[in-house]
Amino acid sequence: MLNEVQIQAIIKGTGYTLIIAVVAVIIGTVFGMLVALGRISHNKILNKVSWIYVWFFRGTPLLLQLFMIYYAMPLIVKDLLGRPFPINPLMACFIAFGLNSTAYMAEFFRAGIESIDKGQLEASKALGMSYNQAMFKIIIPQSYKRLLPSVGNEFIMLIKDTSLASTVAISDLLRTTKTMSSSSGNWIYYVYAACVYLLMTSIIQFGFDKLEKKVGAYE
Amino acid sequence: MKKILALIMIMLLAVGFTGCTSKAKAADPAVPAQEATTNEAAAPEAAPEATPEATTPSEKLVIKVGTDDAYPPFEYHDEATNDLIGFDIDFAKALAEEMGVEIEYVPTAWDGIFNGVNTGQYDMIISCVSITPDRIEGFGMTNPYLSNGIVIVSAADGEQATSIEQLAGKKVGVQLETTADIAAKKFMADGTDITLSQFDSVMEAFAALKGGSIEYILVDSSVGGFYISNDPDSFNITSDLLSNEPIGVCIAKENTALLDKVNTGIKALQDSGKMTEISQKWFSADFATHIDSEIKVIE
Repeated sequence: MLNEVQIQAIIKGTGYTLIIAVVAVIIGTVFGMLVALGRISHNKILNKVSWIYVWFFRGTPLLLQLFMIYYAMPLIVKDLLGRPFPINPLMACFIAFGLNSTAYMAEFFRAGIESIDKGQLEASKALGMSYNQAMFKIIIPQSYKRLLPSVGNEFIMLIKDTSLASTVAISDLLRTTKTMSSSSGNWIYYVYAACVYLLMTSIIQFGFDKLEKKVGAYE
Repeated sequence: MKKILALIMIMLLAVGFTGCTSKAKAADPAVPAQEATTNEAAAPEAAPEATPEATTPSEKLVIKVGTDDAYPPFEYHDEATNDLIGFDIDFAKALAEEMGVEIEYVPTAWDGIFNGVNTGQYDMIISCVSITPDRIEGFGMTNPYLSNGIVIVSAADGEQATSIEQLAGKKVGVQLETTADIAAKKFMADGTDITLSQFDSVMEAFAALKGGSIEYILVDSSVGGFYISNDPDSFNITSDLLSNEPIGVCIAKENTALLDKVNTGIKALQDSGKMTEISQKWFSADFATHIDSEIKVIE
């Protein structure tokens, strides 16, 4: 079984995993909504910029984005500005995972918003609401129920994708157990890692199921 | 119902076809390697003193060598041709010629590489493996074939650290699970307050040092020397050797026959001057003979 030092290491690793996933989801939700609105907006510039953003961050691997932010960006800034720009690995993870998650969430939100009957927008306008009021007070709240499965999905995927953080020198859960396993030759540590990941994702799944029921109560 | 059945049948047929063809293709080239490897994979498990035998007199025995192929200048891929090159690769070639065998490399990530030699995935590890008391206990370590020790590498435009004390309160990078990693943790346990970043590969650590995300690296002296010769404006070796841990070949503990053969091979290469030649090629100095084998490690 595990001794105390190992349990502490696993808890620390799980901590990194959780915090990166949580921060990424929060960033993704907030900025994803903005990018989604940009995508459906009639303003040509906003539309194009949002399109390019989603195109780039969905079209390149998360690992590549992480490398670019942690390894390449400091070197580029150093060449351009002459002064060093060291970046904390955890901050690099927050940024990379956040930007990536924003792109995916933007598409979920856009799908959710566009699935709301056009009649709702027309009715809001008929009542004298502006576009923004209609969006934020009527349309978006109605789209919550449709978004929840996708957002839950994204959160669960983020929990697992955080294992990529080991490439920028963060000892997350998977790397911690992998190191324990390779130094002892015992595969049982992988089982522990699987159990912890399953525990986290099950809690998220359960939580989102409850949320869905609550939000969809009136439908 | 009929449609679903038809769909399932088609999928099964497709899977069946692809399964057959890939097996047929894989079978042929695998056969000669299989014969050689099943023989010597069985040998360490069957009897500790059994020597791997060639299956036929004309066929050369294939020895599998595990190596972390992202560790210049010992083993890495040439930027232009992607060939595997390095000091260890030249050494392995010379050793193979001396022993009359063929080498097959098994690229493996460093932080799991020692498992493979115990499970028989490869017969030995030639990957800048430092000889340490722990490894002597757990594995069959050959005689050293290269001098080595840990040094501190500083960024050229930063403070140059000449000793461990100067690392206090600084960001230091190491490759995960190397002797440098163990040394850094020992320094931290002894009270030096180091902010340690552990990288999967040493190349990433140097990239981070260049970018400024870390301030120092603890690494093998030859590796540090190589990065500096490639990029002299960015890095400097700023300390003496902090440890003495010459490099040896790592073999499974029970496989004493292979260990003896490799030791004989190393001695022959050193006597014939081949080791000096390879060392001059990669390090412009002879670190491969007259090796100080008194091991001083930090752990």
